[in-house]
Amino acid sequence: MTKITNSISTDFLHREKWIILGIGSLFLTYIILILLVHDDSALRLQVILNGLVLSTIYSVIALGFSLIYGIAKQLKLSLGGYYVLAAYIMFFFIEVKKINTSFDNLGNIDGLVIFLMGLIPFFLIIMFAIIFWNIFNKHEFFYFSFAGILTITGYILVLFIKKLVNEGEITEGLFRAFISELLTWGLKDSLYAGTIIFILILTAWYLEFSIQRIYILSYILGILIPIFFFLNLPVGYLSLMILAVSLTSFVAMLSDRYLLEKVRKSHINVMIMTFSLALFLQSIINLIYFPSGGTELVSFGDLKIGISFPPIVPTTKSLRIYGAIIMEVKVIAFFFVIFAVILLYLFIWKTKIGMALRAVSQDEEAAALTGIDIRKTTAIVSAIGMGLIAFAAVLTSPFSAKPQWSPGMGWWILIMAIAIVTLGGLGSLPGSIISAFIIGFAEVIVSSIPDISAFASAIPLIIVLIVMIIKPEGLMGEKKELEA
Amino acid sequence: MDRKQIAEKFEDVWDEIRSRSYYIVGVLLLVFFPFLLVTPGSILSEPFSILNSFYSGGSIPILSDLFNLGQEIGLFGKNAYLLNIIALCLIWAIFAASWDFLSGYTGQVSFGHAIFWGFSAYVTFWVATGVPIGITFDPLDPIVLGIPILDEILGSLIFLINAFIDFIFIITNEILVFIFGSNFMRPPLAALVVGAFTSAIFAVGIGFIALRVKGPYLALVTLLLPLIASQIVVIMTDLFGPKYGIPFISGPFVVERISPFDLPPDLMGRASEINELNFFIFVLVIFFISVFLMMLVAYSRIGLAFQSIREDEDAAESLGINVRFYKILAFAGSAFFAGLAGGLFSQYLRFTGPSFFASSFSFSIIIMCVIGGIGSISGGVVGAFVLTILLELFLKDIFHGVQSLDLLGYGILLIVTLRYMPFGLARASKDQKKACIVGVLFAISWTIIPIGEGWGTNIIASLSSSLPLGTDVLSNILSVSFETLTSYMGKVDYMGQITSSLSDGDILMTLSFVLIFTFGLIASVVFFFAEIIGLFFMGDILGLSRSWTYEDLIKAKFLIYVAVGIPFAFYLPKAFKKVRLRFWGVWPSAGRYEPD
Repeated sequence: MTKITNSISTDFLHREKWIILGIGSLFLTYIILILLVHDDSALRLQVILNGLVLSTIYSVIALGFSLIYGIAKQLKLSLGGYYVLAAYIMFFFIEVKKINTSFDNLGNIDGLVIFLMGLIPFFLIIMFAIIFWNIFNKHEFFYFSFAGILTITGYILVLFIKKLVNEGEITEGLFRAFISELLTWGLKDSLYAGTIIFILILTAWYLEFSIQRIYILSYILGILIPIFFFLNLPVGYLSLMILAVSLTSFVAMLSDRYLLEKVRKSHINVMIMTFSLALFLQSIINLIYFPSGGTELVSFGDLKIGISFPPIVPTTKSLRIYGAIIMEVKVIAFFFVIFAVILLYLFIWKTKIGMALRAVSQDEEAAALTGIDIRKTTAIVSAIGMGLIAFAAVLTSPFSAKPQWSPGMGWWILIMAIAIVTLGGLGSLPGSIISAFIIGFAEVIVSSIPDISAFASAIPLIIVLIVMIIKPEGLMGEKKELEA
Repeated sequence: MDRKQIAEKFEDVWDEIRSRSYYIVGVLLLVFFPFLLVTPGSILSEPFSILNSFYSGGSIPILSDLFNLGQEIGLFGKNAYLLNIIALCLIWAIFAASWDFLSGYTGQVSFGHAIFWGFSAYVTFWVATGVPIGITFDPLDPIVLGIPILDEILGSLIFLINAFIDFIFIITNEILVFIFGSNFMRPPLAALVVGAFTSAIFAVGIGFIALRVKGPYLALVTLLLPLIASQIVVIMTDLFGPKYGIPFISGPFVVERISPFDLPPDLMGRASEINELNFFIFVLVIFFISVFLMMLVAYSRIGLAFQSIREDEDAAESLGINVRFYKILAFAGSAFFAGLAGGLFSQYLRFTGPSFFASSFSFSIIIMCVIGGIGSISGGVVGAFVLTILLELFLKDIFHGVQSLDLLGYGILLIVTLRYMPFGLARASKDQKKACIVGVLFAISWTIIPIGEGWGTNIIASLSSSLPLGTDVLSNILSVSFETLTSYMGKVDYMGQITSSLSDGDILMTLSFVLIFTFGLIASVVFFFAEIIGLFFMGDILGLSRSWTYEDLIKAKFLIYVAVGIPFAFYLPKAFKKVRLRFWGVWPSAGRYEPD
C-alpha cells in the first residue's frame, strides 16, 4: 500500500501566493477596519463573533453547493428549496405533537394533516411488512432493527425513571403511569429517536459499510441515545434535526434519480430544472402554510406563529463573553458546523465511497470503467450536498434574522451560495470555505457600521461581481473553460 | 443589395412562418378569441355609437378603422377583461422572445433578464415625468449627495438628460403626428422608446461583462445582477422613488386627458374602456412589429453569426466572425425588446417598483421559452400565451388570493415539460403534439357538457340565432334522447328549463354528449375518477371550494381534465395499438404484424 503524502508541494506556494497574500491582506484589512470603526472592545468582539458564526453557516451552504458541482458537475439551484423544505419538515414534526385534532373548527391545513395522518397506518403496515420480510430472510436486518427497539425501550425506561425520581411516589399504579407517560410524550420522542437510528443504519448499509462496522455503530448509537437523554441532553430535538436532514436528503436523492435523468447532459437544462424544483418546493410550502398570503401563519390548533421560529430550542439563553452577547444556539450551531465539516472531510478522504467520489470528480468515464456506479455516486453526492444545506437550515432557523422565517428565505440562501461559490471557485471546497469567511465578515462589518448598514446585503454581491470580472474562475477554481 | 438576395432572405422568413404555421394560427386564434365570448349586453358591442368619438377622442385613425371592422364582427368581449389579459400575454410574449433572441440564438444564457425589464420601467417613468424623483434640479443649490464636486457633475448630467429627453419628445411627437395624424398623450409613448433605447445602451455595458465569463458562469453572474439592482433601488430612494414602488404611471393613451371636450357626454364614463381598447391595439401592433423584427434579424446573416457563436465559439472566431461584436449586439438587441416589454408592463400595471427586478420575472420567461421550445422565437410567444392564460384565467380564479401561485404552476409545468419533452413544444414528437391538442379538445368537450349557464350558453346563444329553421324537427327528436340521457346525470340542475322546444345549443350539447358517450367509454372512467379525486383534493382538502363560484368550479374541472386528458390522449392510441396487435394483427395472418 502506497503512503499518501499530504505535504504541500513547493509549486503550490509559488502558484497561489497571490491568492494567499490577497486573502491574508483582506483579513488584515477587516481587522483594521474593525479596530478603526469601533472604539468599544465589546463591540469589536461582538462583530468578530457574529462574523464567525455567519461565516461558518455560509461555509456549510457553500460546501453543499460546491460538492455537488465538483463531483456530479451539476449546478443545482434547488438548494434554496431544500433549505426551506428542511426547516419546515422540522417545524411540521414539532407542530404535530401539539396538533388539535378536534373536528369542530378545521382550518385549511388541518384537513391536509388529518388526511396525511390517515395515510400513516398504511405506510406503517407497508414498513412493517418489509421489515418482517427482511427479518425472516436476512439475519443482519434483525440485529439492525434491534438497535432501534433498544433505543426506544431505553428511552421510555429513562423517561419513567425520571418521573419516578421527580415525583417520589406514584399513586395511580406503576403500569398505568408508565402507559400514560408513554402515550402522551414518550412514544413520539422515542419513536423519532428509534427512527433516526434505523435511518442511519440503512444509510450505512446503502453506503456499503462492512457488516461489523454497522453492528458496532448501531449498538453504540442504540445505547448512547438513552444515556444522552438521561444526561438531560435535548435528544428529541437532535433526533428531529437528523430526521429532517435525512428526509430532505431522501427527497434530493429521489429528485436526482427521476427528474434529472433526461437533462443530465446539459448544464443549462439542469439549472432550469433545479430552479423550477425550488419554485415548486417553496411555493407548495407557501400554499400549505400561508394560504391567505402575507406573513401571518395559519397555524395548527391554537398555536399562532408570526415570522420567527417557535422557541423549541432547549437553550434560548444568551452567553456573555467579555461584554459581547451571543445566543447559546449560535454557539451550538458553530460547533455543530465544525463537527459536520470534519465528518465531511473524513468521509471524502478516508472512506471507500469518498474515494469513488473523488475518482468520479476527476474523470467520469474512467471511473465508470473501474466499476464505479456513476448514477449511484451522483445520487449520493446530491443527498450529501442537500443534506448539508438542510443541516444549515435546521441549525439557523431558530435564530435566522436576515432570511425571514418564511418560504421566501430560500432565495436569499441561493443567492448567497452562488456568490460564495463563484468567489471561491466552482467545485473547490477550500475555496468556498475561504470565500464564505470573506463574505460573511464583510457583511457583518458593513452592517455594524451605522452609516452604510443599508448596503450590507448588496456589498457581498458587488464584491463577487468585481471578482468575476477580474478573475472569472474565482479564487481557487480551475481555469478550465466550461462548455454550456 | 441584390434583388435575388432580398428574395432569398424573405424566403427564409417565409419558410419559418410556414413551418411554424400552427403556432401562428394558434396565436391569431387566441388574439381573436374574444369573439367566442361576446355577450349581447356588453357596452362595447353597441354599434357605431362609440366609433365617431374615436376620431375626435385622439385614437389612431387607421387602427380605429380596424376597430370598426372588429366591432362589426363582435370582436371584443365584455368589460374589456379579455382584452387586458391578451394584452398581458402579448407583453410577456415580447419579453420571452427577447430572451430567446439572446439565449436561444446566441447561446448567452441570461438568468437575470429582469434587469432590463426593471431598468426600462424606471427609465420610462423618469422620462415620462421629466425629472428623476426626489431630485428637484436647481442650478444654484444642487445638494444631492453632499459632496460638492459630485453634485455639480450630477446636476449637469441631469440637466443634459432632461434636454435630451425634451429633444426626443419633440422629434417623436412630430414623427407620430406625421404617421398617425393624431395628437395623443405623448410623453409615455416617447418614454417607452427612450426606455428601450436606454436599456439597449445599458446592455452594451453588461455585454462587456459577459465577454469575460461563459456558460454556467454567465448564468450565475446574470442571476446576481438584478438582485444588486433591486438592492440599490431600495437603498437609493432619492433617485428611485419610495421603497414600495411608484404608483400612478400613466399609460400611452389617456383619452380623458387629451381632449375632454371632444368626447360626447354619454362616453365620459367609458373613457377607461376606450383606453383599454386603445392599449390593446397598441400592444398588438408593437408585438407584431417587434417579433417580426426579431425574426428578421434572426434569419439574416447576423442571425447565422449568432447561431455559429452558440454552436462553437472558437470555430466561429476562426471563420472570421467578430465574436465580441456579435455577442454585444445580441445583448443590446435583446435588451431593446426586453426594455420595450418592461415599459409596456409598467404602463399596463400603472406601477413601477423594486419588485420588477425579482428573479421570478427572469425565470417566468425562461420557463415560457422552455415550454415553447428554445431556439425558436415563436416558441417563446407560444409559451407566454399558454402560461399567462393558464395563470390569469384559471389559477387566479381557482386559488383565490393565494400567494406565489404563478411560480407553483410554472414550476410544475416546467418540471413535467422538461421530464417528458426536453426540447419544448416546438421539437416534441408528433405523438406528443397530437396528444396535447387532443387532450385539450377532450377537456373542452368534457367541460361544456354539464354547464347549464356560463360560457357554454353564451356560445350557444350566439349560435342559436344564426341556425336555419329546419332544425326544429331534429330538435324535437333529439329532445327525447337528451332527456333520457340527461336523466342519468344527477348533476344537471337546469332540467326543469327544458321544455318542448329545445334550443339549438341543447342539440349541440346532446350531440357532443352522444359522441363522447360512444367514443369515450374508457375516457369516462378516467375522467370521472380524476374529477372526483381532483375536486376532493382541491375543494375539500385544500378548502378552496369555500370561495368558489360556479364558474370557478368549471374552471377547476377544466384544469383537471386537461391534466388528465393529455396523458390519456398520449397513451390511449398506444394501448389500442397493443390490443389491435394482440387480437387483430397476429391472428389473420403474420403479414399484418406492425412493429413499432
